[in-house]
Amino acid sequence: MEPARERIATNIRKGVLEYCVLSLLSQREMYGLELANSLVVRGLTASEGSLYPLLARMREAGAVETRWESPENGRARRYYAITSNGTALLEVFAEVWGDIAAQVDELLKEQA
Amino acid sequence: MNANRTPQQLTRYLQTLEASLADAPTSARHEILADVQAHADDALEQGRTIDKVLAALGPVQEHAAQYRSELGLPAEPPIDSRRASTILHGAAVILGILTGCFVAFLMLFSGSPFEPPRSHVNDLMMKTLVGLHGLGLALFAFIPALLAVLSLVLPQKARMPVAVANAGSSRQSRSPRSACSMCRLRC
Repeated sequence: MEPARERIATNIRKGVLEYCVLSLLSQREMYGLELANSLVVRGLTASEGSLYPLLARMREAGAVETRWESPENGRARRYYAITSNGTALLEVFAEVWGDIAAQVDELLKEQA
Repeated sequence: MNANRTPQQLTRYLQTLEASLADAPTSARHEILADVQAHADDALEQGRTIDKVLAALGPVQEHAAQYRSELGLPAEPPIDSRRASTILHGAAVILGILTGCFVAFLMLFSGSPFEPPRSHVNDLMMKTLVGLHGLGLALFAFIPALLAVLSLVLPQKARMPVAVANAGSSRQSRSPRSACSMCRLRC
């Protein structure tokens, strides 16, 4: 059942990754690798390669914004921050997710 | 490892990614490349190997396809001048090498028009161009090939002057149109 497990997980992650990013950014600003690491550690993305294309779209859509920070010693980094647009989107997602998760949990409980 | 030096694999990855996104808006493409470059630099600095970094990003074509889908671009980039220019570059290198071999061969066995023929058979080698001017002379025959190769391996910024020199040096072997599409690498 490993392939099925991987396929199911991939499909679900694909739908929620964007909002997981928004949720992480609502806590604080992060730079790319920081975001990637946080998502991988939580098992929310299998490939770092899918994060950056997603960020590119979210930036275009105005859900996140970026700014460069150049420390005195060290490399300049681009930090991602959530916009008010993104915050509103995250609130809607939280409601939808709450509804779906509750319904799915209940269904699985009935079955068991 | 020196963190300030970009590994060649990464450079190649970024170049392929850039070429695969040639039809994306310039600002979006720049930001994408800056993101991936910054990610890799940070990961390398944290002690990951370049192989691990690139493996985690996924095959470059897949990565590019994800960008294309997220940015709403058609799945395949339109056939652009880059691919055509790569093919022309390859042809120029091969043509340059073949011509170089041929000319070097002639230099080995043909005499100088400026030297009066000598009767002694042992002097035969001495009378050829290479015999007169040394083996190094034959290397000049490979200058067009070298120019053609340079325009492939030099960093993007340094390519322009070579491309111009190239267009001049091998004008006879290629049409002006090919030189033009080569310049479009930067233009």
